[in-house]
Amino acid sequence: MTTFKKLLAIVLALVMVLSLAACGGETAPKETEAPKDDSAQTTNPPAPSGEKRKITIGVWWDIYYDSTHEALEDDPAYVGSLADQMRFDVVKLVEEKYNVEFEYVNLTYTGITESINTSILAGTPECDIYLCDLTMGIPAALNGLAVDLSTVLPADADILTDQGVLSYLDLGDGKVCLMKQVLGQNVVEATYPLAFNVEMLEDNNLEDPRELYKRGEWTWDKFVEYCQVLTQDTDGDGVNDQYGFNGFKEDVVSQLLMANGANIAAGTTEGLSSSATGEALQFYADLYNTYNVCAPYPAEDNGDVTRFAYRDGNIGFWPGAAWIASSNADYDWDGSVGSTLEFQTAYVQWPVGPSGSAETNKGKLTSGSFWFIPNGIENPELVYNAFEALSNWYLDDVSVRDDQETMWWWYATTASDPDIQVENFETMFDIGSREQFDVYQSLGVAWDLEALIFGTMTAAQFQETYRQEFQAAIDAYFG
Amino acid sequence: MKARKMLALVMSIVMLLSLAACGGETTPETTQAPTNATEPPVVTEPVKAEVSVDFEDGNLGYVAVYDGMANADASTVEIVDYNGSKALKVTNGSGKVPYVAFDVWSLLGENAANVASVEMTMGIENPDGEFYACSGEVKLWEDKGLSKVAYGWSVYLENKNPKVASVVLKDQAFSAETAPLMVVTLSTDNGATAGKANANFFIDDIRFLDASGNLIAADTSVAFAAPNGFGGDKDMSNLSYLAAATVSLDGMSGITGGAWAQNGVDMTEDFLAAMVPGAVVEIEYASATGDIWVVMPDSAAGWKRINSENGATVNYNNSKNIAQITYEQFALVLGEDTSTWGARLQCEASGDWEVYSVKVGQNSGLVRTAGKTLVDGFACTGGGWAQNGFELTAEQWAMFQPGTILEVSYTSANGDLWALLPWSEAGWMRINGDNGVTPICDGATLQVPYEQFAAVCGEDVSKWGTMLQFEASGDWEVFAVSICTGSFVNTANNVAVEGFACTGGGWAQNGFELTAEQWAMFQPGTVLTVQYSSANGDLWALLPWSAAGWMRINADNGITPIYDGSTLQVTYEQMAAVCGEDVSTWGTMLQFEASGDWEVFSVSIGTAAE
Repeated sequence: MTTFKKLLAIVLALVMVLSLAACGGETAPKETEAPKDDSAQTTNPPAPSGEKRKITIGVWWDIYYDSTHEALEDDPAYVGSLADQMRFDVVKLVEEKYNVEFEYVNLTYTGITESINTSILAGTPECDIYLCDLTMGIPAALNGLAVDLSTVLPADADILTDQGVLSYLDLGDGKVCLMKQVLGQNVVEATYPLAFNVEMLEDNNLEDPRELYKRGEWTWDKFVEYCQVLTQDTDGDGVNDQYGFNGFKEDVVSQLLMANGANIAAGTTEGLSSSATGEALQFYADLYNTYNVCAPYPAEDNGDVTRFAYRDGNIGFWPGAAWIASSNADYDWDGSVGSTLEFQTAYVQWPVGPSGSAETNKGKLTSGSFWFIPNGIENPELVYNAFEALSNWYLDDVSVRDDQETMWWWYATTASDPDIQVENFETMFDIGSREQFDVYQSLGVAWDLEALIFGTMTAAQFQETYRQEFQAAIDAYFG
Repeated sequence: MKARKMLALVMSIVMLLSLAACGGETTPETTQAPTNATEPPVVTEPVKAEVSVDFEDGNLGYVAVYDGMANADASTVEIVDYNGSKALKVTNGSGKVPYVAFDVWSLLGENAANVASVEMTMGIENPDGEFYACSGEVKLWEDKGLSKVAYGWSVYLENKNPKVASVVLKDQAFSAETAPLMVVTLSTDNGATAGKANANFFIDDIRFLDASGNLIAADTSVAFAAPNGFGGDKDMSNLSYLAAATVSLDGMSGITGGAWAQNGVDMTEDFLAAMVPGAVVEIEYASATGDIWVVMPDSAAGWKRINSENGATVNYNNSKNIAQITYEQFALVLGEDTSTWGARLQCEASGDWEVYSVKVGQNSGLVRTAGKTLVDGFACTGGGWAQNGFELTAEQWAMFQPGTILEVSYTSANGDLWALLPWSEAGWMRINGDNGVTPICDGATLQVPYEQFAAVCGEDVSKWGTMLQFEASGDWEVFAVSICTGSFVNTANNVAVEGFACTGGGWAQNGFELTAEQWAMFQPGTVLTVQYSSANGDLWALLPWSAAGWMRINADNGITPIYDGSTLQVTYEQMAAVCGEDVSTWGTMLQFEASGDWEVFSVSIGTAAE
């Protein structure tokens, strides 16, 4: 990395930290001192005594470090960073504090599934903690295979309060079973903010929608108003060649649902037939067929056509993502090819639908992997406390946890203007902080959203067509 | 198995005796007859068929390794002692994914349709003696390919190795025509991921169960009956079959590159030594644009692409996942002296690419056969230099005509095998080097053209005798024998006829008009290649608007169509033989027809390659 970029990274990191601090203390760094003995905080630490408790953690990829590792170099990915050293050191700290040993055991993905379904069910879990994805974790949680941490931890435990180290997935049943480590990258990844062409909005004298969002005025009506202004016949041949909006159908619909407070499969009853969902689907259809503000949808598209169409510079708004911007090196994030776009891209939260609320709307579909402690093990409280301490290898210092080298990419890839980079990151972080649990994309139901795009089906017909199919899939999924 | 059964029996007796010594109240109730509590416990004999397949008889003819996937490993299978009994051992050969197929339909007969679940003991071992968890999948063979539905198996803890894997079929059933096989893979190998050697695995005590949990017995003396699209039917269109002795360039496995980016490794001494006249470099790959070629960056001739840019030919199969370049094409660009070629071999493509394997070997001479008719029941074995075989019927011998090929699926200790005609009027005749003929084989397939038989025993089939035997220099086994009407032509420069896809019922015709430009491509040497399926495996072309009349390009007009159930080739020469050499008189309509329901997926026009 060049000196300039390192400087930029440091400045950006400082800006991020300061902005986070301004937003609320819980995510700001608490300590920056060297590791000390009280780092592995727990609300109820047991006194170390007797034989060491071995904590086996079932995973499906190799994770470092645990008690079996003797040197930093045991991790093939070791690069000599402070984070590497702290991950290694925290193992000894936690071992001594809780009189435990850790071992990550790679069971393979299939092996994890099998171990969960057989050993826990038999009452003799083979692991004390399991890594899982939603496909495994949700049935395990709903079927009583996972410990409800709210029943074994004191009320002031981190995961039940601040969720600074470990957060949990709320399945709506009041239980705390599925844990996730809080990491900056975990928050911003897989976010799809609404991107817009900064120059195009400026050229059309449209106020920055981020200001509208801050004032609570960024609504579907306002969004349509903007899109109608931006949809134009710029060359005067009688055919529109600039469009207010364009996007890959699946990306768009998932965001419109959340923007209207709707979901499809967030529980055991389908949400497709809800009025909020109907509003979102109808709005999507209207963008194409009533307001006529969208670019023509291609006859065939696996996502690449519509996801990258904005690069032609004739699209006002589109679902953005860091990975989409980096796919074509929009803004020279690694300095290898130069910026490939002449306009700036800015991110804003999606406009709020009539049944939604800026305060309660979610922004990101829950995804990724989780951890859970199986029912049937001895002393789950000790296991949780030790695991929380192990997860807090950064000793509450989030500037180490979300290290600059890694997070720098998330800034530099979305824009070339440093100010916009910071604002885009903040938008991604805000969106990623508001997760919506909804597994509809994992159910294998193939719906034909093009029926809405091309006007061959109304939203109501669409809901009725797929309602039972989703319910059957949900029944199978949640078992 | 036998040792364990005996051990179980002894332990049962010991247990019962010890329980009896301790007092009757702890004796398991299930060992007492309910109507007569005073009778001694009954020790039942082990159930004779407690498993469907236990490998104790040493039979292995119903197992085959599938290599039709780009990531398929060249695994070997054998029966070994494992965990106190005989078991099937699958040894990884090239670091890729083993696909081991069991011919369930042959094993179980019509009872295979009743299979609702399968249990089998799975064990793993790594050559370094350490334990690394592994997992894989069990799939059915469905409609000429592996089913999308997969059932997982895993051995994930050292203290549970081996363990029983259980598969409950979900809306699937074995059937004779479409789903006769069960295929077991090992797809996740933690040892290999960690840079260790690849795991081998064991399968034992397979239990096929019906919906009520009843065991279904198996006949393990059967031979593997390969369904359409299986195994040797890896798409070798336009390619040469390499002889068994190949040299792999292991470092190329898994190498990737973006469009127009080169990546590769230094060639090993063995690899370079194998680059001799007649050698063929074979690349299994995937690329976004379907192409791939080799770059030799350090040759004395300079940085050189081995492709059309420098006048060299790269042969691709129709699936665009295997490419071959001959030594002669390398020499055309770099010169014949391999010492001037430099050390490094790279690949490159016009789109994102990945290479799965690179190997070099000699062209075995095997061809892609068509019009295959299985000789029912022809399966036999022999020791080294021992002969064995069967008499063919008069109808079967009558199929032998010029162009006909006898194709034999086999294994042998030394890789060789040849045919024998012991009752020939010319005498007891080996079809091999003894009589000036070189057998065409690669260790798994032997092909004997009519012309080789004729060279040894004369052109008159009636004088060959009725007995067909085989022989090899080591122990051998023949699994299947087929008589093929001919072989496919290797093609190049194929141009797809966009949108040509249609279906028809038995004896119904369907098709499209071709454009004038497309018809203009038909010249001597032109080959029409059709991808299709049909209920009876056959398909032929029709030119209904020909000036010569409504014409079938098949036996009705003296033509033997070249097809194998998935590909049909029609040459210009075949069409010309029926409708005349002037393409302008053929009419514009091209149709297809078959004796059962059929579907054409694609049609392309190419030229016969060298």
